[in-house]
Amino acid sequence: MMDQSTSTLTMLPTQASTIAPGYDLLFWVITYMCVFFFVLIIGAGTYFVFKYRYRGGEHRVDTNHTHNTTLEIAWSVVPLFLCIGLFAWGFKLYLDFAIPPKDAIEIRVTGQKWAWNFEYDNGAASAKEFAVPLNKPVKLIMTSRDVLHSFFVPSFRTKMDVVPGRYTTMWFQATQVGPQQVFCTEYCGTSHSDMLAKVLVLPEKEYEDWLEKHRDDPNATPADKGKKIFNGKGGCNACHAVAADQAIPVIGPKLWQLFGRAEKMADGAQLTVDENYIRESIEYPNKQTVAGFAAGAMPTFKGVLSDKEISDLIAYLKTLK
Amino acid sequence: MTQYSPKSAQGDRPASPSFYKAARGIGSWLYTLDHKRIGIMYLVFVLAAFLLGGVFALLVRTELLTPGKTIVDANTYNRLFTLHGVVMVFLVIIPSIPASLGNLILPLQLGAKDVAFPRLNLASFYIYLIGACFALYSLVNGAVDTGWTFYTPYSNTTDTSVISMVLAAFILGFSSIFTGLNFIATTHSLRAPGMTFFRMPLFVWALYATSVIQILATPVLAITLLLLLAERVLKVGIFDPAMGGDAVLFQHFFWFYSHPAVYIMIVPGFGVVSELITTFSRKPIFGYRAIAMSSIGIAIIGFLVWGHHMFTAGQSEIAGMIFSFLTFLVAIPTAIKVLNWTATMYRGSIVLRTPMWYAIGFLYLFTVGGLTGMYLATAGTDVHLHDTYFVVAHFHFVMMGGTMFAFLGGLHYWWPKITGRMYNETLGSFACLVAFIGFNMTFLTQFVLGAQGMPRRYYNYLDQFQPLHAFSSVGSYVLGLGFLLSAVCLLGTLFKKSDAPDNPWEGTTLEWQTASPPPLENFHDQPAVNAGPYDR
Ligand code: HEC
Ligand SMILES: [Cu+2]
Ligand SMILES: [Cu+2]
Repeated sequence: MMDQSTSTLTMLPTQASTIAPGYDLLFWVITYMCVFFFVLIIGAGTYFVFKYRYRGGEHRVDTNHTHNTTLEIAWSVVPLFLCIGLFAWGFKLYLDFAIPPKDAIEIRVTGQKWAWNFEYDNGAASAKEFAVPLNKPVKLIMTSRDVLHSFFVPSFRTKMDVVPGRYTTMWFQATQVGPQQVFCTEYCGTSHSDMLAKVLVLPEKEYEDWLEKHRDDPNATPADKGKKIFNGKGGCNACHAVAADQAIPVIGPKLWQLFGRAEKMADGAQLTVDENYIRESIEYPNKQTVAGFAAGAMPTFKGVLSDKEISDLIAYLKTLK
Repeated sequence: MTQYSPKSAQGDRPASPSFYKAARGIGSWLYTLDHKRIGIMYLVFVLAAFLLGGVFALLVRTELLTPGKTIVDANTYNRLFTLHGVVMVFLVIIPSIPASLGNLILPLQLGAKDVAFPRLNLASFYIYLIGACFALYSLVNGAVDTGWTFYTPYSNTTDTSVISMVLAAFILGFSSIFTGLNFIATTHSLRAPGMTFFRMPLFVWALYATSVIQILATPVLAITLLLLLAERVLKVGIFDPAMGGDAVLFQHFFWFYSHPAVYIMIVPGFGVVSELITTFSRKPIFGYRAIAMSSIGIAIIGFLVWGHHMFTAGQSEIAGMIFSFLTFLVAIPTAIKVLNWTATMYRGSIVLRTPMWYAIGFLYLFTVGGLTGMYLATAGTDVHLHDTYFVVAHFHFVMMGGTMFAFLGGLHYWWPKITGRMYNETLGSFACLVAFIGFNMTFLTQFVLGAQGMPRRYYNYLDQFQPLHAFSSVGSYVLGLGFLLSAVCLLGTLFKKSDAPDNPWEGTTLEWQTASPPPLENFHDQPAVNAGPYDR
C-alpha cells in the first residue's frame, strides 16, 4: 500500500521530494494546454458537424475554402513556439533530475530478479527497504546483476533504469517523513510486479540509528572489503601503486587520485574516470588501454570477481586520495 | 473534375463481370496476381489476427480485474500481454491499412490495372503467411514472455520460444518491405494519364510516405533481430553484458526501427481519414499540399526521434535534449493535419454516415493521443510517466483510437466497393458509438492510473489501483462488443444480394468511377485525369 493519501481519482501522488512541486507545475501546465487545444479543435469540429450537417435537399456547395496561407502558417508557427517553450522547460527539469548536488549521500543499489539491495558507505546494508535522511540529497548508484530493471519512486517523481554491466545514477531529496513506495518499472520476468521496495524517509537522528542497526560488521565498509580484495583475491597490488611513496615496479597506472581524473587512452581518446570506466578496466582491460601502458598486460577479472566485489573495489579506489 | 474521358462515362459502360466472377475456384485465389484478391486475402488474415489479438487483450484485462491472481498465473499473464503486443503490432496494425485496404484501393485510385509487380505482391502475402505460421508455432510452443519489445538481456535468458517469434517478426518484415517497394513503384509508374503527383488522392500520398519508411526502417529491424538470434543461438556477445555486450545498444537498434514503425502504423490512417472527411463533407480537402507534404515530413523526422523511448535508460543529457527537441518537431506536421481535417468540415455539407462517424471518432481519439504525447516528449515530465500506464494509454489512443478507427472507417467506406454490398447504416453507426464509448472507458482511465504511478506490464498491483483497473476492464468488454457489432454489420452483408451502387458516397476519386465490385482490369477504359482529386 502507498502510505500517502492517494485517492482513486487524484492524478499525481503526494509530493515527497524537492523536485516534485516543480514537476507537478509543468505537468499541470501541459494539462491545461492540452485541455485548451482539445476544446479548441474538438469544439470547432463538433460545432462544424452540427452547423454544417446535411439536412436533406440541395448540398451546400463551397469550393472557396480549400486553402488559406495566413491561417496555415499561423497554425504551424504558433504550435512550434509553444513546443519550443515546452521543450526548454522540460529539458531544464530533466537536468534537475539528472545532476545530483555534490554533497549527496551515496547509496549503492543492486537490482536482481526480483529484489533490491541497498548498501551504505559505512557498511550498512539492507534489502526491501532502505533509509534516507529527511531534507538531504541522496544519490543512488545502481546496477543490476541480471536483466534490466528500473527504479521508480512515484512520490519523488523520479525513475532510472537499472542496467547490468553499467552504473546508472539518480538522486532525490526527500521532504516528507514516512515510507515511500518503490516500483520496478522495467519488465524483468515472472515477479516483476512484486519487485517492490520502500524508501524510509527518517529525521536525521533516526536515520543515524537506522544505519547503526543495519551494519553487521562495523569495520567492513565496501571500501574496506574492496581494500581486502585489492591486496588479496584480486592481487591488484602487484601491478598498481595506491600511494606516491609506494615502491613497486611500474606495471600499471597509479591508482591514487584515480576517480574523476582525466585519462588519455592509447588511441588518443580522452575520458574522465568514473564507475563505468573502472568497471570496464577490471572486466575488459583490453577494450581501452591507458596511454603509455601495454595492452594485454592486465588480465581480465571477469568471472573471477563478482559484481559485488568489483563494486567494493571501486568504492575502495574512490577513497584513494 | 477528376473524371473519365467522355466515351467511358458511367452510363454507357458495357457490363463486364466483377473480379470475383472473372475466375472461380480455390486456385483462382491461391495463385491470383490480382491486387484486389490479394488485398482481400490480407484483409481476411488481418481481421482474424485482430480477433486473436483482441482475445489476448480481453484476457489481460480480465486478469487485471483484481490484484494478484484473477484467472491465470504470472507467467501466463506475461505471455498474454506479449502475445497481444506481438500479434497486434506485427500481424494486425502494420499490415492492416497498407496491405489490405492499400492493396485493394491504391491501384484503383491511381487508375491503374494492378500494382507494378503483381508477383511480388503475391509473394509478400505468402511471406506474411509464413511469418504468421512462425508466430503460431511459437504460440503453441510455450509462447514468449519478453514483451513485444524483446528487450535484452531478458530476451536472451528467458527459456520461452523467443527464437521462433523473433523469426516471425523477421519474416513479416520482408512482407512489409515487398509491399512498400511495390507501392512506390506503382505510384511512380502507373498513374493515370494526367494524374500528376499533386493530383494524387491523399490516401496514395500517405501510402507512399509509409512505403518509404517501410523500406528504409524495416531492414534495421531485420538486422537487430538477426543479431539477437546470433546472440541467443551462437552465443556471440552483442547485447548481453554477461557475454560482453551492451544491453542498451539493443534499445537503440530496436527503436531506430520501432519509432518509425509507429508512423508505418499511423500514416496510412491519416490517408484514410483524409479521404473520409473530404468525401463526407462534400468539399475539397483543406490544405491538400500541407497534408501531403506533412506525411513526407513525418516520414523524415520520424527517423530521428527514437531516443525519446530512452529518457530514463541512462543516455546522456545531450542525447535526451536532442531527442526531446526532434520529437516536438515531429508533432508539428501531425498537428497541421488535424487542423486541416477540422477546417475541411467548415462550410461543408456534412453527411453523417458510418465511415464519417469513424472519422470523427478518429479525430477525437487521435487528438487526445497526440496531445498526451506532449507529456512524453517533454523530457522532464517523461521521467515520472515512462513505463507506466500513461504510456499504455497514450499509444492505445494513437494506435487503436487512431489507426484502428481509421482502418474500420476505411473498411466501412470501401466495403461497398470491395464487396458490392451496402450494410445497415444504423447498426454500423451504433457499433461505432459502442466501440467509441468502450474505448474511452478503457483508456482514459489508464491516463489517471499512469500518472498515479501504476507501472505497466504488472500482473499484481497495489489495492489502491483496483477501482480504476476494474473500470478499465469493463470498458474493454464494451469496446469488444462494439467491434463484434461492426463485424456482424459487415459480415452480415455477405449473405445478401449485391446491391451497392458504383458511387454510394458520391466520392470524387477514381475508385468510385468504376463498378462495385470492379471488373478484373479495374476500369473498362483507361481513365484520364484533368483536375485535383477532390474537385467537385
Ligand atoms: C599484471 C598486472 C596487473 C594486475 C594484476 C592488475 N592490473 Fe590493472 N592495469 C594494468 C595495466 C598494465 C594497466 C594499463 C593498461 C590498460 O588500461 O589496460 C591497468 C589499468 C587499470 C585501470 C585503469 C587505470 C587508469 O589509470 O585508467 C584500473 C582501474 C585497474 N587497472 C584496476 C585494477 C584492479 C582493480 C586490479 C585487481 C583486481 C588490477 N587492476 C590488477 C596491470 C595490472
Ligand atoms: Cu522489473
Ligand atoms: Cu517513438
